[in-house]
Amino acid sequence: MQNFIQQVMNGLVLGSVYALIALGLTMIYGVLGLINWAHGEFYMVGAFVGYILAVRMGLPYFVALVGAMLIMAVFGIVVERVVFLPLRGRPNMNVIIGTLGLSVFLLDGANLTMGPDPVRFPSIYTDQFIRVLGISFTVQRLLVVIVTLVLIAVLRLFIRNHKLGKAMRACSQDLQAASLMGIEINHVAMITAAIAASLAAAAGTLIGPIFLVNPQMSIAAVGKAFAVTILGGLGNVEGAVVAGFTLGLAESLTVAYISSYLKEIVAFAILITTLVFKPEGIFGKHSVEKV
Amino acid sequence: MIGTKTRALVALLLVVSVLVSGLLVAGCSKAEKEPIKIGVIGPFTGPNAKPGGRMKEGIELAVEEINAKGGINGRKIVAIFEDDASQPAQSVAAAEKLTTRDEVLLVIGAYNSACVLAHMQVTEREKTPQINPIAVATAITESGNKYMFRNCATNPMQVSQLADYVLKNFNFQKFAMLFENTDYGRGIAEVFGASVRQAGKQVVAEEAYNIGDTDFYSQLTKIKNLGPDALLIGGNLTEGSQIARQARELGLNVQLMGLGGLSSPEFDQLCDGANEGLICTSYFEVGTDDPLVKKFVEAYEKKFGKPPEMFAAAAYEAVYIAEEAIKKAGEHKNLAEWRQAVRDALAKIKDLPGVQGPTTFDEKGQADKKVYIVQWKNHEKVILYPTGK
Amino acid sequence: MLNIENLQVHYGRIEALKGVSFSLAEGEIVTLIGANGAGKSTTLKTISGLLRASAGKITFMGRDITTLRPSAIVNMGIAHVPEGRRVFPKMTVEENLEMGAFVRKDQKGIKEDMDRVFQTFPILKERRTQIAGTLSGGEQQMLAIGRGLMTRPRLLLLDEPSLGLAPILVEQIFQIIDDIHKQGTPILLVEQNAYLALQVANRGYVLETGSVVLEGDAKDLLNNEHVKKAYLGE
Repeated sequence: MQNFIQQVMNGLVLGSVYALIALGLTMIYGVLGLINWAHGEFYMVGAFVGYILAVRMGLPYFVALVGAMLIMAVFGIVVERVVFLPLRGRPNMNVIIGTLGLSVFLLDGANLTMGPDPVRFPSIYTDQFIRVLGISFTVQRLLVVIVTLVLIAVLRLFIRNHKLGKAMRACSQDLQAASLMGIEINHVAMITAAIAASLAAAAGTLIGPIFLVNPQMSIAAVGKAFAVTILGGLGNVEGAVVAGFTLGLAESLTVAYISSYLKEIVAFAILITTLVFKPEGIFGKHSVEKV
Repeated sequence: MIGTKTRALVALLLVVSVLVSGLLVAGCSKAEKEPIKIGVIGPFTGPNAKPGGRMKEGIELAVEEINAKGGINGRKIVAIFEDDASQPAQSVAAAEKLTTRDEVLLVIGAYNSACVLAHMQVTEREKTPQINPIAVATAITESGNKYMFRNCATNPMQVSQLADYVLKNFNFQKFAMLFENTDYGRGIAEVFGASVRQAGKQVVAEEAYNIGDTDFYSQLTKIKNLGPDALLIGGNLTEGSQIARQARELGLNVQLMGLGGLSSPEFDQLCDGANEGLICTSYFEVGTDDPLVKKFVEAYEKKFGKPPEMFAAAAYEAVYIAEEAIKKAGEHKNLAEWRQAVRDALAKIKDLPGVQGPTTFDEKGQADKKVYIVQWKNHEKVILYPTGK
Repeated sequence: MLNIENLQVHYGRIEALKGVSFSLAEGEIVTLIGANGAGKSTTLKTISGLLRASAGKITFMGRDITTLRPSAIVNMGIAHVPEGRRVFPKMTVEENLEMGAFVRKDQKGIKEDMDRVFQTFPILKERRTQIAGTLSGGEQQMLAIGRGLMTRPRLLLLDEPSLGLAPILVEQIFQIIDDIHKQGTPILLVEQNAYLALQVANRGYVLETGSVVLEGDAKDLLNNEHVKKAYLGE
């Protein structure tokens, strides 16, 4: 039982990160209609921004977290204007090359400015432990789960009830009809990119103190984020959250009760099975083909 | 007017003096014997340019020292460096150039096992002896290549040495292993597991992870529940440091063990104290009492302004092994005969002192090397083996 | 109030509109009829700013709107109910109507207009919390029109409101179009069902392969030999 609870906790931490990254990816797809191959780099750059604010500038951890989210929101807007906007409505190959180019640019940029070697990103919460019922984790890990759940709740409220949130949903369901409602697509696109980038920054800044921060962290993250996004249904926000936690728990329970050799296999086996039997994702409905 | 004449005179004098000095130099070098050429292959650019650079520095220092005492058998030695950029294809081209165009007597290199495995066929074809100071793949000395010699311990060698040490000095009954899912990691687990079982002890957990993984809580939780006495980390410093930290977070208070990379200062820095008490192997330590090591460290620091590390030491030692063999081989007019004589001399080397300990090659060309066993104590390494030196 | 002069539109190198001119006065229903691919929908999309004209001029209430963005055109009072309904399928009926009022800030007026839409379409009131994607075709068409009315338009563009609906529903929809017009909203109606369109409209234009080939009072067009043969199936 102890083992089970501990593994569930581990799975929730992993799932939180997957969910935060996948949320941005799925929102960008939903509203802007493009797959952002540089999303792993958003997460990595966000982690470095958090690291610079917290470690190099010595700001309190929560200030750094909010700061990283704000800075990355601006970064998201700039990327939307400079990279996504010219790619909008272009053939898929242009989009892939464009966002892959951005990915390479950000990765190499990070390698040049921050160096390829991993750095530690200590927060005061990494040295505080919670030990109950024979299970053990750091306060930072608890923080990852709590902050993620809060962010998801806020995002959900925004999307459900705020006028702009509803406009985002409208855009993701039918861009042309949305623009006939007088919704300024450009504004919605910028807001979406800003939210997506700042969620990635939250993921990076939350997870940085638990793991290490280095440019390569983007590569491992993006594969999982894509899996989660597809599992949840491209463009489906609720799906991304549920799929993120599902994958995190599946991985951690696989290691616990089957074998660590199978960790990656299980994740991708779920993905492939889903694609075969329900290609629109577990939570997806057949979406209206965009004209 | 006078100015022009003077200038013309000065110019003439200059031309004459250059000609004369040129003749003098030519005369001298004719009197002296031609230098002995040693080829060096290593990654001096590309992803491993950093360790490649250390390797080069070790060789430059050894060559300088040997020439300062008058060279070998009255001949100076000269090292010809060829870059392979960690690319097997490029390393083959480098070996071709060194053995056929530069006609080197012997080759030292390289850094990557894949490169050595690729170009060792060229040195073998040209019957040119090669000393490999760094690349650790077992296949390199297991292939029956008579011209290949290696002066560093392979992975199985250091793993079984670590296992023997821990089994002898601690009364651990249950062992756990967490290793990267590659040839390297699985090889470590296999050898270590075999030693443990042979000693009648138990391996309670064998868990794998992938390179680039960041979260090891799942594996470590499982390991913790199996209650081992000691945990072997079979991987490199990036993942290794996170495993150490996460083990501490989970309250997994067991003896940690590791290999090579976990003895580096970068590992210590990334661990943030979680490596306290960790026991690992190390190819080279600056802090020993060995006079040979002390002399090397001093000379290296003087020349390059920083302490040497394992790659510099291994390459430095390789040059001294070459010196010994060339000395024993004597003079030969024919290059092929000379190369053969050096190869035979290398095969006979026994207990030759070096900065990585004495060298004796077995019939496969593998040196019987011992690695250091060190323990992290308060961000410093305490040498557990060899003791009393 | 709406004036189209020599409008040309290209899809890549294909010329979809080859210089279309027409006008619509205050209080009128004007219909554009024509076959598939004649350029009817293209005309509407260009008026609402979804497509860019390559030449020509669109003026609305005396202002040139040819190069304005869709949001600005909506703000000027042109509501476009697109072909195929295009309701937001994962939003409720009520949310769809709210989206119709996106550019408006007068909460009270929005509330009133929503009540008015529910009066016009009682079925929508019944289904106000239902997800739009689960509505029937006729209900979706009503929602699309209701959503258009939520902008409180000065001009309503309707694109194929009868498409894919059962005959009984088609009649109902045309009844509603007539009602909306009678309440004072001018309408530009695009229809393949020329008979119904010409019956409800004041004037009509016949579009063939990107050009206006006939124009006149709706009643005259109903009796025109060419229209009868080509569009009324007589």
